Amino acid sequence: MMEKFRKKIVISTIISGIINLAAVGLCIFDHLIISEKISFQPVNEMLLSFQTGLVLGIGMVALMYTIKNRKALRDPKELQILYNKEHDERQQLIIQKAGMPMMAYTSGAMVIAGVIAGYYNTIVFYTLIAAAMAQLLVGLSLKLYYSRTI
Amino acid sequence: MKVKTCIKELRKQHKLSQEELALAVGTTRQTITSIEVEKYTASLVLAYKIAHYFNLSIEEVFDFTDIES
Repeated sequence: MMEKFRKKIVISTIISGIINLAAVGLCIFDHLIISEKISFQPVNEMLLSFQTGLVLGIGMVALMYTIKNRKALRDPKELQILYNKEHDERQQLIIQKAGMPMMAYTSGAMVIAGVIAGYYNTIVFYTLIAAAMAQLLVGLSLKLYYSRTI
Repeated sequence: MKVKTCIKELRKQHKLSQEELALAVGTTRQTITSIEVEKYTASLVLAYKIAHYFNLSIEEVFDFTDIES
């Protein structure tokens, strides 16, 4: 069982490493290439800044996961703690009550849709991002609330 | 429904920290805390694991008198 979990963590570390590299690459692409050299139409500065911030944020989260996973892979006790945390029944109950997996997925989809829509209509971009942020905030607040009450 | 437990006392007897017990029964320190302060009722599997760890029966670790009455 632990060997299977170790393999899962190794795969997760590789994926988060790839996401890290992609985030750095996209940031460089966004700022050095798109904004200055090959842009044939005026670039919405707000949209570009949001995209850079989003990519940087995703990169930072991926980096955090890479460090956490590498630490767990080196130390069997840390790996056991990580396994327990992922399979903890109370934690699963809190996540379920906060409606978290679906809320996070729909928020992610709204952010992606917002970024794409931003190229055509700024109002749609702002609306979708605001709705996604509000939804994420509600989910996180519920998670925090249930973590304290359960 | 709250279920009283004597996990805290048993831990003290065995000189165990919450983290050590959590690691032994495959849960987190926060879950052990929640069970001890009666905020969370452990599942049958977790209750069995905790009782089994102390070589006791579930009824000896968890008090079900409130449910029975």
